[in-house]
Amino acid sequence: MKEMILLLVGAALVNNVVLSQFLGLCPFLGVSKRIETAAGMGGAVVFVITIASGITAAIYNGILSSRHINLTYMRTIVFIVVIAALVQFIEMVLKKYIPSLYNALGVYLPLITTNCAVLGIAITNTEEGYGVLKSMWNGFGTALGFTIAIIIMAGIRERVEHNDVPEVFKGSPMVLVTAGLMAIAFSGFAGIL
Amino acid sequence: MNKCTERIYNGVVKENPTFVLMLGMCPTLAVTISAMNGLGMGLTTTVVLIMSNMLISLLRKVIPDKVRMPAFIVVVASFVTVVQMLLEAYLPDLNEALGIYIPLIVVNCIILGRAEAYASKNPVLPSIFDGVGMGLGFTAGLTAIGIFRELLGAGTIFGLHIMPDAYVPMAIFVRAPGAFFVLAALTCLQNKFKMPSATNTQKAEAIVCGGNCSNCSGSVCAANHLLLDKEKERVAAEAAAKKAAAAAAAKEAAAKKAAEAGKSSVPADMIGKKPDKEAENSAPTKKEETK
Amino acid sequence: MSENKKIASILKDALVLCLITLVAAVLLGFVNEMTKDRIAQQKTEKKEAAYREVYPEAASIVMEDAAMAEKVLSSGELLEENGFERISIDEAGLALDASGKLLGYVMTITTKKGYGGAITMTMGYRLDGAITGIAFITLNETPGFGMRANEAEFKEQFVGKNAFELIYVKTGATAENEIDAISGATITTKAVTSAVNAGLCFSADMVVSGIGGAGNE
Repeated sequence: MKEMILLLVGAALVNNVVLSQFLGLCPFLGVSKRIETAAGMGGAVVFVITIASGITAAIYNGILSSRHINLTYMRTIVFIVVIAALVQFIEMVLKKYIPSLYNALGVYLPLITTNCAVLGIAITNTEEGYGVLKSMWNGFGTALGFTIAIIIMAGIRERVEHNDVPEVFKGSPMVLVTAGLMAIAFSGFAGIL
Repeated sequence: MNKCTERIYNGVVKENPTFVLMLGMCPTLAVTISAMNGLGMGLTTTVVLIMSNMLISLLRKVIPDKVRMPAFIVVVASFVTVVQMLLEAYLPDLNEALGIYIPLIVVNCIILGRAEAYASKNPVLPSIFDGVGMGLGFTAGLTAIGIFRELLGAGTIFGLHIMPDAYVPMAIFVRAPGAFFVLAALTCLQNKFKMPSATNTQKAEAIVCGGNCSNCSGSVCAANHLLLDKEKERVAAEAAAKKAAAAAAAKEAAAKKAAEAGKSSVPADMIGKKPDKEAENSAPTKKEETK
Repeated sequence: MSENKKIASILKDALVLCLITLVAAVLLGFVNEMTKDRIAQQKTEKKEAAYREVYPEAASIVMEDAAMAEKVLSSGELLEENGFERISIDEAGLALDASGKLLGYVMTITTKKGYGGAITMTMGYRLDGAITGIAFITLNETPGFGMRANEAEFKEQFVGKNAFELIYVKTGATAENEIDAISGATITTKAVTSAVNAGLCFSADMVVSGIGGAGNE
């Protein structure tokens, strides 16, 4: 139990996927203008990463690295294809069976297909040698970290939107400075584990 | 051959993926803690880019349009794996330093972007040179950022002590936050000098690979470029429209006076021109929306 | 008719995609065959070099020992009992002198507490309880800070230390069991020191169990 909590805290805060590993940077900088959209994106990421972590771990442990065949070198190609197909599949299933969830997350799903965070977590999981459940837990924690980061980011951006920043800092530089300050704050978590 | 040198110039200078198109930001920020890592990552990406551009260009008539994206992904992923295995066998230290970011080359926007925007539409030779140019541009960008961060953050370049001993390294530059600050400074300078870059057009958010990862998987390169062009066009058109409007207003005023005097054909002519300009102006925005 | 055409086009698309994937898979298998031995060789060479570095006096390093292999397998429980978290002993070997007499042990330790991820290191242990040296196999710390763990100045501090447990200090080591921390890289220092402590704990257990004939001197 203690180990599981440590894993979650480590994945979400200490090794924050965006602020210390730089994965999933595109949506972090791009979809963080409003808190609602940021939360929607975060929700979609949690959903997809958790499922994708479980499935890729199952494929890796069950097929690629099973005792009889050693196909671990096929990891990258298998994972990316599975993730791309999975996102499409989730989108279709949600649209058909859970339209309310689809309405909330739908527009963000296609954005996740090539989000490097999904592939990154899948690979990290296999490198750490996690089983299916532990992979899903780690994936969930990581995605939670992403959601926390993007919502805080959106909150800050909403606040500073009308601030009087120097002309040259308007737009991207301001966003990046904010991200840098957040990264400093998050690096404070490094000592807790 | 001229076309080939043009592709290289295009990749390194005109559409430099790091400084102008702002693509592949994840590896750019993550691995540039030292100049060596930046160089290694850049060259690795270049190799993958050249190979995938070549193969996709060769197969461009074979791959059906509907499944082109999965096909590209498979091609790119295989080359990435090949390169990773070769690195592991012959350059294990670099492989370890770059770690997880090597398999992540698969989702680097530059590679799929070039495949979609250039290699799938052009013959083999220019596609190869396009890969060389873009790859070198990316390498140059990563190495430059790496040198900058390593120099400030550790006082060294490629591991050699450059700064005097009295210099106390600013550790933050080789840590995660430093990456953001360096990039912020870079985009800030681009704003300051009004350099052409994906970050300082009006549509910045839609461009910086930003937010639109669905474009990333495909045509973000082309999209960025189009947006940049359109931005220029838009500015030009706006200026022209303003001029025309001002002229029209002046003419109208003059015409009103003139109309009192009985001449009415001139203003109708002038007003007719204005909607034209407006149509030109709104056309690109419509295209953007449909993308 | 158009329905048929549609199906035919879907089949054709799927077929082409399948072919591309197949060719890619074959290519990968081929490259894997080509590089497999070389990768394995690289890894062994690196490890052997690291073992030689940490135990220069040993004439040979023997990795095959059934009792030792069992110890390595059960090392996880031992480390956990002694409060070492997220550290593992991956491999161990016997350091022998020219006549085949046991001098001590070498081992590979991985700790996941590094600042830049996992740190894998080797360590040598003499039977009298002293550390003969440490070396790094994987170290991805911050350049100029954590990476300085790989400098001789830091590594040599461990050589000859004979203590049950090492601690790191920031104010200049004075006692036998103290290590000078790398300035600005406390997390790295902490990770390395605790990995060494885990190694000490494991080695002491090996000595007690008389692995490799340690008891019958």
